[in-house]
Amino acid sequence: MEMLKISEKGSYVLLELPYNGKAMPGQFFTIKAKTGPYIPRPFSVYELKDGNLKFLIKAGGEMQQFLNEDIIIDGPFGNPISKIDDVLLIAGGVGYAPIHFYALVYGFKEMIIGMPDDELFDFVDIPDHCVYVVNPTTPVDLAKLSPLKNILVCGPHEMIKGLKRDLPESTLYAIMEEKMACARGMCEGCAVMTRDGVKFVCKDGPTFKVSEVDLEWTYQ
Amino acid sequence: MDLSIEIEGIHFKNPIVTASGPLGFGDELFKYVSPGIIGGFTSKTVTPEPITGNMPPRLVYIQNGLLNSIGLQNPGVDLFIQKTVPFLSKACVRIISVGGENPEDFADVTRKVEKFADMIEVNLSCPNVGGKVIVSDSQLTKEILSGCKAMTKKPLIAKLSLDLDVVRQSQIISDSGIKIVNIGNSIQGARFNFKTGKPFLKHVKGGLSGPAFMPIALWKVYQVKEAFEDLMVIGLGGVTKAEDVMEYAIAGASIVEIGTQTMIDPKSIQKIIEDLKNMLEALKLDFKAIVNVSHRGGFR
Repeated sequence: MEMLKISEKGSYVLLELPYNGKAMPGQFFTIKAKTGPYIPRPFSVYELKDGNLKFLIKAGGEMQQFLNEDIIIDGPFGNPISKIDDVLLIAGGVGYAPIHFYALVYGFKEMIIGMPDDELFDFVDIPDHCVYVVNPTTPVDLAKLSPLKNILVCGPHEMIKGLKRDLPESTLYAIMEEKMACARGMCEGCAVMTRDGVKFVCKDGPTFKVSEVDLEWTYQ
Repeated sequence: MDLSIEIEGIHFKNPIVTASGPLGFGDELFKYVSPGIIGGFTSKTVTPEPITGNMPPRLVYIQNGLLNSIGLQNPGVDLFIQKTVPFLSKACVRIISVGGENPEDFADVTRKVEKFADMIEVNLSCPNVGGKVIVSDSQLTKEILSGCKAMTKKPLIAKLSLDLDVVRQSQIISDSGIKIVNIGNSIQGARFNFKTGKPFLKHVKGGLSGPAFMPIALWKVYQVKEAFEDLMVIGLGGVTKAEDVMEYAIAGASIVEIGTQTMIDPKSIQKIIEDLKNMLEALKLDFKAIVNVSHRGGFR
């Protein structure tokens, strides 16, 4: 049976489900209830520990009305991320979910988290030795101060664009999010333009080397 | 009971066929579904040259449906033949969907793919490419169909638009000597973001699929079958369960396609086929007996 934990002002939800399978950082599941939504929604894994699978969900969206029902999950989908040496992790908003899972499994050297409000900081588990910011300072500003050159990011489009623009010497990987319907590489909904043509978040990603991605096409 | 049906000399072991589009070229689908259980598979539309498709976002989630703006992304006919055709299973009827901008495009693709197909579906109605919907131009439609017919003896299927008068379209198809109509492509729709004041999709409109539009598609199937008893009709739109297949058959469809539901849950197509068989067992009727029964006064 699933459990719901709701943040102080009700803006965020942690959905916890029993799950005996495996999942690796970078992977995601689709979530629905018996009554909907019609298209199951993709969510990155926030945590998988002791047979419990957790997802971080922004409240108020279309998914919320179904969260009090029995939840049906499908997955894991997407390609796992391999461990990245001396990595700087950067998260924005609920994009923290897959970054949190990565940190739990592989650890990290430095982490910068940007969130729109304190409510989310107070709600999620944040490791001790990391830096977090709220607007108007951004993780991109802080990342310029880090000596680390390998970066894994998940967050808003503008954050990924900003990192690519301001840190051209870094090796930047992004866990990309896009609307999808099948999660299996059939519907061709979650398109990303790469130097090898159109790829799909669900089948070819969700993690992409940003230098190979045309962000202007993908996130115009 | 017998689920099989014959269309223009092509035997379908059951009336369940995958719709063109949502399932791509089958390479991912057939990891989940054996081609041996379905009546047929329809490929994504193939065009003479590769098409990149539309910029994201390509999907808008809506209640009970999906708005898509994929934009006919495909590798082009030559790469399709090289990479996909070798894997098209003969365990079900192979329908290849052909597309283009002019009669020469359609004829060219038909000529190249026809030997690998059991039937050719002529996509006259994609809602997600620029310009007018082909089937809105009767002369152009006739020239395209005539050109395709000249390239193959395999049965042709004309895929119609639900945004236009289906009876008028069917008249053009019938006049062209085509015996099978697919009713039809996803219907055009739009959604707008009240926070930005802009449409969600870059081309404003997309194609609506899913249960939200099933009553519209059912009505169009009924209309066409009422006006053209001799036309074979393929019905689709919003099928999620065996009862929906029954409704399409009752309205007049000899074949029922499933797209979005198979994409969401590939294995559900097997359950739909099993449930359909059980429903027909309970009625003690073969599938053929329920096709178009609404025009014969229903079950007596």
